[in-house]
Amino acid sequence: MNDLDFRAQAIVDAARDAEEPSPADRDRIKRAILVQVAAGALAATAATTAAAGTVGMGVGMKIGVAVLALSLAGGGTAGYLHWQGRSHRAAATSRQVGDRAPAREVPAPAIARPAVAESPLFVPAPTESKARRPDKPRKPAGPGNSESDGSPEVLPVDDQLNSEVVVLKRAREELRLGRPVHALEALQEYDRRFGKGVLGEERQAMAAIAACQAHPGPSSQAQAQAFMRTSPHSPLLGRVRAACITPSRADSP
Amino acid sequence: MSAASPRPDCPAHGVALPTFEKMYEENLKFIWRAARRLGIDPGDTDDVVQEVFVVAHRKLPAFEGRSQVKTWLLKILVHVVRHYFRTQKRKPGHRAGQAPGDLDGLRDDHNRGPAESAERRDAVRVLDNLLARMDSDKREVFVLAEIEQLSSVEIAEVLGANLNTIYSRLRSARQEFEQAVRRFQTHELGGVP
Repeated sequence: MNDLDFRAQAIVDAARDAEEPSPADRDRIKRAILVQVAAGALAATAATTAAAGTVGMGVGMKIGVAVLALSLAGGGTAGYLHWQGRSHRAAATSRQVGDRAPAREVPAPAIARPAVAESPLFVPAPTESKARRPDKPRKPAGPGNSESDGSPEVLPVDDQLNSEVVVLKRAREELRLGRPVHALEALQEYDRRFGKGVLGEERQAMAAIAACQAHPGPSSQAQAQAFMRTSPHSPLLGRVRAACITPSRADSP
Repeated sequence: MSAASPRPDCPAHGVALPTFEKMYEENLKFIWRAARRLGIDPGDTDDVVQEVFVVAHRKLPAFEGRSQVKTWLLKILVHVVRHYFRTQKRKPGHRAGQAPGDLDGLRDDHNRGPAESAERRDAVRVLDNLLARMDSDKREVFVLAEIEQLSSVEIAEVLGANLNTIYSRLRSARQEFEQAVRRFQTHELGGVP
């Protein structure tokens, strides 16, 4: 088959490598993919919720729902953490964990781990898996690990993530039920227990949404603006904007 | 298929599948580029690329390694892009398939001189404008052949079309593109070849 003539070929060749995603694009897309994967996990565990939250929405909107759905999808967040294993946030959590073994065997509290979490995609390679998985089951959290001392909890990575997920799930449910004040209370609990936390960005977004619903006004909008400034690439950006700029578009699915 | 894409490990040969992260890191760039050249609006490129990898994530456990990862991902991309255009057509005032009007996706490459960067930006602008004038069937074949440098056999696999159809579309697309380049250079560059 004939090739292109030299003029056409020159344009094609010059254009071929002229465009590529920046490192920020890569990170943003990666995060959004994991969020969508979490949404898929949500569909496996709470099909009706997922359907109600995503039907009729565009892809961008689904991402927003998916981020909130993240708080429901323990498996998805496990995958998220696995992929983010070298990220600074996960690394910080790992440092908190210290020598304690990761707790993949420990089931998420009250959350069924969906099938997607067991996908080979997010399961470490066999050798890595052996290195990471403890030979003995981890001891359940004892009284010393409770949240009663007022300082942020220090838990194994997956335990912490699952615990964060549980609190964010509660906040998300309160928002869905139209009780933003209760959602804010749940988020205050999140702050007490986890400090910035692994899911701090999601917490900030939910706090902004809850504030805009509970106390619409300049103060809440400023909080939303602050989130938009500090997390300009968050998949939740549109969600926060919608909740704070158009209060009628509440977080209920 | 270019040699740039290594053949994925095949479970049938007793080797583990590539991890999703590896697949993402190695293929994001060309999926992004192919999405843009297939006519995805710059503002929608993120969503489309995400969708491709989410689908890949879901399907990877069933991937048998019979095709290369690049071919497999492109097949997913084409499916997602077609769905994108079908969806866009239902929206009033859709812009899908039209030439992108901005160059937001272009990255300044500090390793290149300003003149070369400008030249590449111009090339992208011209290319996208010319591709936008092709019908989608020809555009798909042209992008896969000329930008992604797939063989006709691989393109047939990606598009699920007969090989002769691919030959025919590619021949026609190349002629159309060359004519468009000549017209463009005549009109935009004052006839300077």
